[in-house]
Amino acid sequence: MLFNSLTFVLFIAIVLGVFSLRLPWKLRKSFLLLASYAFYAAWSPPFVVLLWISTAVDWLVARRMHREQHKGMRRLLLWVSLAVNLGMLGFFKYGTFLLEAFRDLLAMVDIAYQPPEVSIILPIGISFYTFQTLSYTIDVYLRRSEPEESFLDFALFVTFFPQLVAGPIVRPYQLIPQFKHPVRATRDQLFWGLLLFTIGLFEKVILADAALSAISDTVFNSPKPVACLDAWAAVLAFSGQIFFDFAGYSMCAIGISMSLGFSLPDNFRCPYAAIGFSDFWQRWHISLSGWLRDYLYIPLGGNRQGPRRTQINLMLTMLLGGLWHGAAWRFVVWGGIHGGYLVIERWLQRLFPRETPSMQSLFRIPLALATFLAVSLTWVLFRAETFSGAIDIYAALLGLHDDPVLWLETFDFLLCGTVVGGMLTVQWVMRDRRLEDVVSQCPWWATALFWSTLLTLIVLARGQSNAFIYFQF
Amino acid sequence: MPHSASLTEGAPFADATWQRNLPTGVLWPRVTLVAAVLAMLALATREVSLREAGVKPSMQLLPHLWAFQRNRVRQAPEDTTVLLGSSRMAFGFDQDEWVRCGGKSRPFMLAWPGSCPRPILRDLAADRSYRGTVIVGVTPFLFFCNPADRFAMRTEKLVMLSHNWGPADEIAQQCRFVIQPKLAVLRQSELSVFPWIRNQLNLPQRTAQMPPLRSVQLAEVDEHGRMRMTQGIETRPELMQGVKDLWQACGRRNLYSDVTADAMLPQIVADVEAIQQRGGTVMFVRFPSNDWYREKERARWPRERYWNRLIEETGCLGVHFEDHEELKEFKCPEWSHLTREDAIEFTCRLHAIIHRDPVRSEN
Repeated sequence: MLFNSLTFVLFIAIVLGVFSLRLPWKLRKSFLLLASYAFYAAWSPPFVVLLWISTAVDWLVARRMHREQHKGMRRLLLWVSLAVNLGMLGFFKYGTFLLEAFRDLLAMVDIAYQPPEVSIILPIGISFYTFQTLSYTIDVYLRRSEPEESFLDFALFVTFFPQLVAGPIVRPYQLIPQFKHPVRATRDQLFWGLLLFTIGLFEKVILADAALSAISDTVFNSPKPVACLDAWAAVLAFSGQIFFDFAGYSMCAIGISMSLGFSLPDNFRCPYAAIGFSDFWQRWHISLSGWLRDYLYIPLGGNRQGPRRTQINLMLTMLLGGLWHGAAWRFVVWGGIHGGYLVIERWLQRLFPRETPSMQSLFRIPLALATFLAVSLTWVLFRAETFSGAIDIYAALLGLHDDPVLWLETFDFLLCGTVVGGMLTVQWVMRDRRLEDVVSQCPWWATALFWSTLLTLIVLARGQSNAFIYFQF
Repeated sequence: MPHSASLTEGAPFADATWQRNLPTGVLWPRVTLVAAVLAMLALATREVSLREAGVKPSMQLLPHLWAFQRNRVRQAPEDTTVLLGSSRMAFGFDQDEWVRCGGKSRPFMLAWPGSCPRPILRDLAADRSYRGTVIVGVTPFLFFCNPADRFAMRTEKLVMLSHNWGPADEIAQQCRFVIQPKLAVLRQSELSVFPWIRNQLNLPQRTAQMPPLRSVQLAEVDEHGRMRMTQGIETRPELMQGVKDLWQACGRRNLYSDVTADAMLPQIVADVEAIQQRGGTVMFVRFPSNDWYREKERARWPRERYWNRLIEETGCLGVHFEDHEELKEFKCPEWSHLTREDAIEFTCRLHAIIHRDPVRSEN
């Protein structure tokens, strides 16, 4: 069920209505769990079974693991959980990719192997809820947290519908404690949540879909080499599109949770105002970055084993982070480039360890723009569907094509410039501020006018009701 | 992403009582009420102005409408008639008139504008439960398009959507059936904000050869996926010119190399035979086009190398508008689509022609 669909409007109206009834807390939680299963089943009912498997296995494994004192047995139980969760993820998401990689590997030693043609449908959100349940089991294994006693609370943690299919990837300590005591949204939470939902929907429906998607689609789908200006417009448009798409979803998720009375953490904090790549990854898809840091980078040794090992750890983390996004070598290379960015940044920081504050402030905007540009260039690998398509776009960005096609109209450039320019300006202004503080300082009528404008434009300017880009991950 | 931190076994995580901050001092009931009223007023004003300008509510031409119709075919009697093709079929075939002229049942419209119907024909061929009549509208540059033309071949995505159709899609489509035919303000694309701004600005194009493009509200769509040319639009030359400019711009942007009919015929023949072996019928119809469009089609997709080969190889009934006196005279006001009145007449005559053939007529 898409947030930007009429079905969801009906669904959330029913959920908000029933959840606010004066019923026993356990009953209301059970209703929320059923609603979450209904939300997921609305795409494809059979895939709910995967959620059940993941929930049951991690619940049982964690409890047994906690009781078990024998280290070997605890490790075995951890492997059971990893095998089940990563096995399902591997089969559904990476099955075809692994088969093809195996075929290519054999071809390198002159062995012809044609893998069977299999059509595997990717269960929506599997990457997100797999990471979420894994964090629970690993935390229990490392004795960072106790296993959850209430199966209902644990199942709701795995399945909580606002963030089930595209995050934020929440940790047990962030969500489960909120299920312990009766929650009822206050008036402020309800309305603020609805406003956040509207902002998220506006980002997705208007800015990502109606304004920017056609520009990037037109150029990236071009059968012939495109002109330099068109390529730049498309790359910038896709940078905006992927941000508004994903940040919009996260904002919707946070807003819906808030209107139910629950808090979800931020997933984006003005990432295109980041100064440097480390800063970028603390602002973009924060919940995934944090997960990779805590469950991959730090266990690998983090930055505790010297500069060289730190660089290797960074690269490994980012390569796997790339692979998390999609079962294709393009995503691995994308991760590798980001890993390279982080390594170079660390090297530069060692080379120029201390800049004066005045120098820092002088270069803040150029550095932020350079970071945005460097990140935008990597999105080409995300958007292009093949390596050769990506290389064509990079060549177009450098103006290397003879007799290129002019795809975009004058209006497209105006639209792209306005939306992307506006996005960068707003993110820079909001870089170190919180939306809550800005709204607190606004006169009531300005907030009302802003909200009504968003609502009106959502109806008047919507594009095709596309699925969210991050659903495919 | 990763930055310095040191989490080791047993280390505590963050505060479990964490809560998101809320804005303070906001008069939420007042803000919400005023926002809702202002939004309602703005939308009502737009609705009234659209109605006054003669704009009628219409279904939106979303892939979900197509997938809904495709799934209805699966539930319909197995000998049901379906219509494939592109916008010429959607504009030019009037399902109600077909029934009035003696058609056994109301055909399902599975034609999709600006797209190639070959993937849909393949889908029907693979559907073992289907054994009805398929009438395929052939628009040469779309039907015979290069398989790499992802815009034209987006019908593959439509087919996928219909296969992955879930309960949420069904409910959403039922909601659309309720509200879209009632509100003109919900009409998509040509009347939404960005195309409207583009029309108002009327900016010069990047190259002198291209006229400034404008969005034109060319058609209304009903809940069955049938498109009808907006009433009276053919009498407005400036709008017709806008559409012609758009066709020419699209023609210039068709950058895929041509593929010979022979390259794609084996698959088409196999699909046709699969349907025929189950007792079904397939026929091809070439809807009218004229002037610039017709000349372009003649030059690039000559009928002897494409249309004729298609009919020869498949052995199906083929109705080309130029082969029949009663179909020749239709004129498309913007070179490519029939008006709603002509669509009714064309359908009636097409029905008569098809049923003149005793062997290959509709089941």
